[in-house]
Amino acid sequence: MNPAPVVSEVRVKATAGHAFALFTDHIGEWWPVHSHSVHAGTVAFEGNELVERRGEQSAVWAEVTRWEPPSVLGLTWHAGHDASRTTDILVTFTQDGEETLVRLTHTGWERLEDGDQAATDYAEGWPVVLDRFVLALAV
Amino acid sequence: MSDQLLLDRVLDALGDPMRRRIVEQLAQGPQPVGELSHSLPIGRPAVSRHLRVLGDAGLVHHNTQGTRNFYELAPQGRLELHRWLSALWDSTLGSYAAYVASHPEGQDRS
Repeated sequence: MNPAPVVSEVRVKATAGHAFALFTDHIGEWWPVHSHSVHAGTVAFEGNELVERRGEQSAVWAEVTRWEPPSVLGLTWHAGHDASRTTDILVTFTQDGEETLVRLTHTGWERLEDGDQAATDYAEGWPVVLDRFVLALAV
Repeated sequence: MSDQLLLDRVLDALGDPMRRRIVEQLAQGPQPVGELSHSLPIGRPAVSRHLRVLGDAGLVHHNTQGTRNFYELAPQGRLELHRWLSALWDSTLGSYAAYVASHPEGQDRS
């Protein structure tokens, strides 16, 4: 039984190219790190990874799987824990006149079906609860 | 029960590593409490207590077959979690949309 994908979308008044650039190059300026992060640090794409840093601490949240500006960004997603347990995020940017529809689809839960017997002692915050969510949703 | 209260119960229930192990065990199929306690490093009374918490959160329910009481995963808690994660992404994309609105193309982005 595969859980349904989690889909979230938003329309922005921008071209797809601009929307893609702001989403990626400027992620550190809009990502709500205070509520949705491991260390409440700063996030940025560094090469092929999305990395959060605060002082000497860092956490790799994702690896880029598709980088196809202006229309597709694909990521593996494992914020808060190691890359042995990833789900998938696909963000599509579809221009419609002066607007762009940004749709984020979070899938891959079935890959976590066996769960993980390893570390459960993650940092406090959103990824922790996300991890709990994943465990439950993965069933 | 309000949605928020149920969601809190779901997250609290899954906040315990042993209860996550129980959920993972039950993901493989319904099991009686005795079998569950054999595959976990805790005794049967402790397993029963955890099952009660998971039951109150809508994550687990039980099903009597003959004289045996099987525990299995229930859909309600999972739906709650699904809605919750959707809301998290909605708020993240909301933050992004507000940023885009204040940074039109061609404007100095520094």
